[in-house]
Amino acid sequence: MTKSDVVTRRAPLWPSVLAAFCALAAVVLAGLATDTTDPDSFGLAIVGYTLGGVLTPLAVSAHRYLRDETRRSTRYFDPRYAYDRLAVAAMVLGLLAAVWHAFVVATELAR
Amino acid sequence: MRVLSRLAAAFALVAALVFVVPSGHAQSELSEIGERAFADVAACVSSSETLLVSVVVDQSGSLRTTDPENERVVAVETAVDALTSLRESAGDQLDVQVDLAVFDGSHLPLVQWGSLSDDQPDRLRAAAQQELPTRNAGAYTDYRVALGGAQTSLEGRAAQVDDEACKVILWFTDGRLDVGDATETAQADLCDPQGIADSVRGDQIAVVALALFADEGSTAVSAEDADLLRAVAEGRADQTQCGTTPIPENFASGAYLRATDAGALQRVFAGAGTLLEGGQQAGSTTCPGSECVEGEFAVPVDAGLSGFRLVLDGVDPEIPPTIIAPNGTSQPLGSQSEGFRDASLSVTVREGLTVATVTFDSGGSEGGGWVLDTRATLDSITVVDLYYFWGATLQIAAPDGLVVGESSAVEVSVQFADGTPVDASLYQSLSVILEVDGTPVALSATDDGNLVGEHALPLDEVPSTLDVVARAEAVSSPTGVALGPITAAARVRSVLPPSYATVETAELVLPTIVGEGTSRGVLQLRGSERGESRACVGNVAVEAPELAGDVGVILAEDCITVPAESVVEWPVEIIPAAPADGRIDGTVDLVLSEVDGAGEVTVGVPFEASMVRPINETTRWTLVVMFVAVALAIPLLITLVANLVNGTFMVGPRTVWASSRVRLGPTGVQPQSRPDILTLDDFEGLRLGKTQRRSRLVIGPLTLRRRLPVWLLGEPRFEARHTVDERVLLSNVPPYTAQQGRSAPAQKDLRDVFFLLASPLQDEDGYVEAQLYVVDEDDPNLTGVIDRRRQMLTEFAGWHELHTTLVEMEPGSAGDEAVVPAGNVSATGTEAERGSERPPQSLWDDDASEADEGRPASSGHWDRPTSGRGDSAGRDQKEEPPDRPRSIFDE
Repeated sequence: MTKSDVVTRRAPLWPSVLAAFCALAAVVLAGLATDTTDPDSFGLAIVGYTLGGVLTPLAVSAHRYLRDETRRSTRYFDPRYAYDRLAVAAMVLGLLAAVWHAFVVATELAR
Repeated sequence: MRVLSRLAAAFALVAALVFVVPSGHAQSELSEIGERAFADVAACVSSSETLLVSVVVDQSGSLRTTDPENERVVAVETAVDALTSLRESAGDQLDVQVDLAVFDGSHLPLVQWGSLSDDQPDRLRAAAQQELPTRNAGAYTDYRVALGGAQTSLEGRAAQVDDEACKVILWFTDGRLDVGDATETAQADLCDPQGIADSVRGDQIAVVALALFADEGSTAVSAEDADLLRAVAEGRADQTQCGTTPIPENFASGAYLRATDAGALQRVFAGAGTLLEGGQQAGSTTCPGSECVEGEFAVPVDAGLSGFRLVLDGVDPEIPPTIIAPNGTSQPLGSQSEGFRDASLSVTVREGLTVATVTFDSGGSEGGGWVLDTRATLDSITVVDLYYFWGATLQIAAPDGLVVGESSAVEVSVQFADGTPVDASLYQSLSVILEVDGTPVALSATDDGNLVGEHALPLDEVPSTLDVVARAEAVSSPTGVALGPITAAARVRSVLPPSYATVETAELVLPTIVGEGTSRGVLQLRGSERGESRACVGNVAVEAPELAGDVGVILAEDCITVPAESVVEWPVEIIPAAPADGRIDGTVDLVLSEVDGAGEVTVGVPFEASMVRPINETTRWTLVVMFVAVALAIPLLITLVANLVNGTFMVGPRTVWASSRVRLGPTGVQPQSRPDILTLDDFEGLRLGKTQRRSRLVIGPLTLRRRLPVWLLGEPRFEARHTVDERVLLSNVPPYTAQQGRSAPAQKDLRDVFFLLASPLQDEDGYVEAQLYVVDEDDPNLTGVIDRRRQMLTEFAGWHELHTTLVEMEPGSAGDEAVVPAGNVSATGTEAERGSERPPQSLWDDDASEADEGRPASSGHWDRPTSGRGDSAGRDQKEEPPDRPRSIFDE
């Protein structure tokens, strides 16, 4: 078998993309939920918190799990570090957005 | 004299000089509503002891483009000058207090409240100079927070110092309402009925909006956006309305002033300050020009004016202008200028803006032509704004009140500041309009110079109080300057005929509803002197914020009996359906029956209450901490679980391990005493019944395990540790070894890694003896595994580095301190090579006497089981599972 015959496998992309999507959605919602006096902001903040604080880390964890499983299942694993970086960036972004959403939700609940 | 000085400072004469042409880039655009707003403020100032001015300055990022030279700093200083001038002109009878704040997406106070009679002007100027230039990076321009923050600040200060204080927001912005995607919501919050604009106006706060709106260029503001700002201030603009329009008489009006470039800001602020003082804008001109020949500007001052002001922009400080009185005396306009015989002169000079005010003694000007010699040339143009001060005021009186079912007299007097009636003959015309509850009342002159009118109040449905508004305008003589309007307002109680009970409560102001609470108050009725009567609840009209839902207005009883000449209290409770922010307004109609029951009259009693949803800061921040903790805990928990699952070795029935004695050199490993590095006999199974995840594996003297990250969002690592002293454990995973040779990095997939348990001592050829360990899957067969492992060892490129790492740990080398202490007997034969040499002490060595206590005696230094870091070998053997595969180190 020559090198050209080797079929490399890589971790699936979708968890990282899903994480990035959730994080970006949380950031967008954070931009929409800037007015803590607006009742609509409360609903947006809950959705944003769920996206940024729950679903994004879930997607990142899925990425890591599937990546490791893929690495284990093949001798020719293409690590694709860009996926990892995307996942980490998504998690940081999602968590920051989640902190803002937490503030908005807390403000409304504290009234 | 105190009244004189205050009124002189507070009330204005309006003069529209047809010979003065607008110029420069300050577009005053003062509308009739704006004129009314300033007149209202002036009227308030004349009768109040306190003026509160909240200065709110935009700090949005657009200022970097629209005001790169920070002209707003000097503009704010000029406004402070003007307000200081107002305070000084009012003597000790008016306390002017000012605070300063900035806004973008939030409202941030910069200077707390203070009186201009103290050192507050210095604090304001210092803050303007130090803070404003750097405050130009805000993301939003949220009018709501500007007005809301200023309203809260004003209300709080008024509650502290004077409930009857006049309140003004001096609000500077350079941009359109911009709250991102929430802009529409923000506009609704501002302009919906009972919204923020209505709330501010209802709290008797005059909003003076000072706009820096360019007509063209990248920072140009559309006509719609400019209209919105104007509407927020004045209630309506060309195509836009904001709040309840027209603005109710019992609400405060606002004004809108605009500059199209930053250079004109200072003049606009000076103009706003002058208007707040009661000045009346007359116009502006450019000198030299057609109306200012050779730099001389004529200022006609008719009889009956209390003074005038000139705002000069572009004055050369080396050549100060001169003002010349009608009698020919002149004064230079410098900070040290003196007054005239029958008029005082005050001059302030700041950053090229000169403000000169001439104030005549009591009784006003005798009339005459003044001249301002600007000394301006075509190379040094001066822009001049002219303002007049009238100095007249209106007084309203209803000596007998407004009797229901009868005609009542209402008196109006137009007075000078010293209380003497205005001589109508001084003016070409003088008109006074009086309205009672919106109905015009015809006036006639009395012998003492006052005006009196009769107003008939019908006996059907009447309010408990009626708004009485008087308005006066005049035209001066001989130049025909239009003066005014000036206004005065009063709330006069309606008086029922004696056969009815009297509603003592003119207006029910209920306590603020905080959160989910209700608000309670009491209506008071006084019984008729003629006997007992009844009062019942009629219609109730309520307006409240939308969020409040249905608002119930409950009176304790539907009808009550009011005994003769006694006061009866009638409890009222307002119950909103939900908490909200805003204001509740309404009217309760009381149907009063005559003593003999023959007639009825309905009296509307207005009521109001504010609603706030206070934020419990403790709860808020506690919740924030909790939510943030949860937000962090969730991913941490998820990652922890994922790491626990992912950080395992997958092993099963086909998992095998092997060990082999090798010689390790800088170029690779060689078999020892046989031709092949690995043979089929070297392999042994793990003896597992099924595939499973293991976080820890024992392979001979090696323990493979995972290490969870301290930072839980990190990923688990894998490592191998050994229990054989005197040995260094290496792997093919950089950095090859760790913990001074006690461990080596591993990987989750053990097929990609091999381990070497080696002695750091080299032989004569530079080789060291080592034991090779591999863990693999018997797939498809062991021969394949051997071939693959052989290929791995051959292709491994890090032999030299790995060897160097090892030999550096040799005793006596640079890595001497890292040498593993003496330990167990090795199966690799190194004992013979070393003889009875005592291994070096390690940092981890226990005291020998303690470590050896209770342990089996050793045969020598090198096989002493406790000479190293505890009895690790013996302990590990005891802890190993019963199904542990046989090790080459086993006896």
